[in-house]
Amino acid sequence: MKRIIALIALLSLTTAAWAQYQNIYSGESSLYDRYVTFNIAARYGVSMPLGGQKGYIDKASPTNLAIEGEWLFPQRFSIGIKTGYQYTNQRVPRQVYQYDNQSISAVQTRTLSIIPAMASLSYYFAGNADAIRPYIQMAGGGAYVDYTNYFGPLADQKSGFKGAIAPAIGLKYYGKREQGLGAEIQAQYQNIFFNYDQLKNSAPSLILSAGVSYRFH
Amino acid sequence: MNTSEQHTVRKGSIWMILLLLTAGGALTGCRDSAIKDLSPTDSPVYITNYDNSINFGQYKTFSLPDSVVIQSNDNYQTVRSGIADQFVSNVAAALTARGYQRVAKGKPADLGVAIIRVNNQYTGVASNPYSYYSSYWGGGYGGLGGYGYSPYYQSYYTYQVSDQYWEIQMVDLKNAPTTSGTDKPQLNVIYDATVRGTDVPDTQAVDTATNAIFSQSPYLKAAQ
Repeated sequence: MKRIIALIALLSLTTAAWAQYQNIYSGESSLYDRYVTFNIAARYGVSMPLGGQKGYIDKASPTNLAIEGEWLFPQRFSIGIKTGYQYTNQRVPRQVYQYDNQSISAVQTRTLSIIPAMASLSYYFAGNADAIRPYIQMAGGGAYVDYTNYFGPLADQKSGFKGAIAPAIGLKYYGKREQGLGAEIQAQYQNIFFNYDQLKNSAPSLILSAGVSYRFH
Repeated sequence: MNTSEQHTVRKGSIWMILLLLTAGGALTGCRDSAIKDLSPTDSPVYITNYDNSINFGQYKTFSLPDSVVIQSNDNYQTVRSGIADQFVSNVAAALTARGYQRVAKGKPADLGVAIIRVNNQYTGVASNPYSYYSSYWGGGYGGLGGYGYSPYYQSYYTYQVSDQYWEIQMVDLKNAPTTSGTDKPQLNVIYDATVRGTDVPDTQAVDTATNAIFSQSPYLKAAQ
């Protein structure tokens, strides 16, 4: 047991020494490379419905906001949390909807509101302090979904917290090395495991967003 | 060094989480404004239900009084008005066009048709609002001493509050069970149509409503 502790102590000491050596002599020393640092981002975007969501509302939505916070680790990966707000609606002209022995003639106003709550894992193809940081991301968790389909003025509503996944690719651009404030673009495929009535199977969409990104320590 | 790093991480994390929570909390729904621009002609919702185990071709005649039942919670009364008359004549004309024959009041018929103005003060199901069947079709059925009500369908949707609406109901008089003892016979409601979403303000809206209702009910057809 003592031997193991001694081994670990030796290992950590030499690693620390090696790290210091790197910092002093590489000239690339940055706090971002040594500590856990942070990045927050707010983006605005358009959402293209796919699959079941397209069967419910088939037009692109201009009302999407994404907010993301990340813990940046020195090894070019980050763990984050993300939320936002996505809203889409569409008026469908009068038609008759059939349900078993029921027929409903109505003008439908279909709405879908989504508030994601997900955890993310990202890998960056550049260092934490670099000016340009492309990345890939896998996010998963859930989303609060509010499906409200108005038949005339009468609401058929279904809401709940459902599972969701959202892989994404993106790019953070800070202008120069070490700079805090930057811009970000992201393409995200999002699939929420929600279905109800006119929204069959699940609710996937493609969200293209752009906004500001800020890193700090 | 370790302590200060821990401290920095914790402080940064708190700021980040606070920011996310604030942003998330500030987001409010857009959906409430979605139907603000709904026009009066887009507002009505015509809902029809029928018993799909019934062959509507088996009926030949129907009884339809000239008055309309005003149902208010558990109470009812009958009235006549311009809109009510338009409903009665439109429904009579539509059923006649489908091959059914209207009988005079009090005469036996295969189908009992009721036009009802529901005027409920609250949402929910009234305990037994269907007692008007006892005398609505006149003396021919009075001997049964009132009818019970046997719903055949389950409403697929739950709707927001809608207190006042028009309803067309059909019950099967042809296959009415015979009474035994003091039991009330259960008449089956085999068809039901309601106009929801907005009130029917004029006779033109009545025409639109009855046209929509009968065009979405092609199964209402007498055998030739």
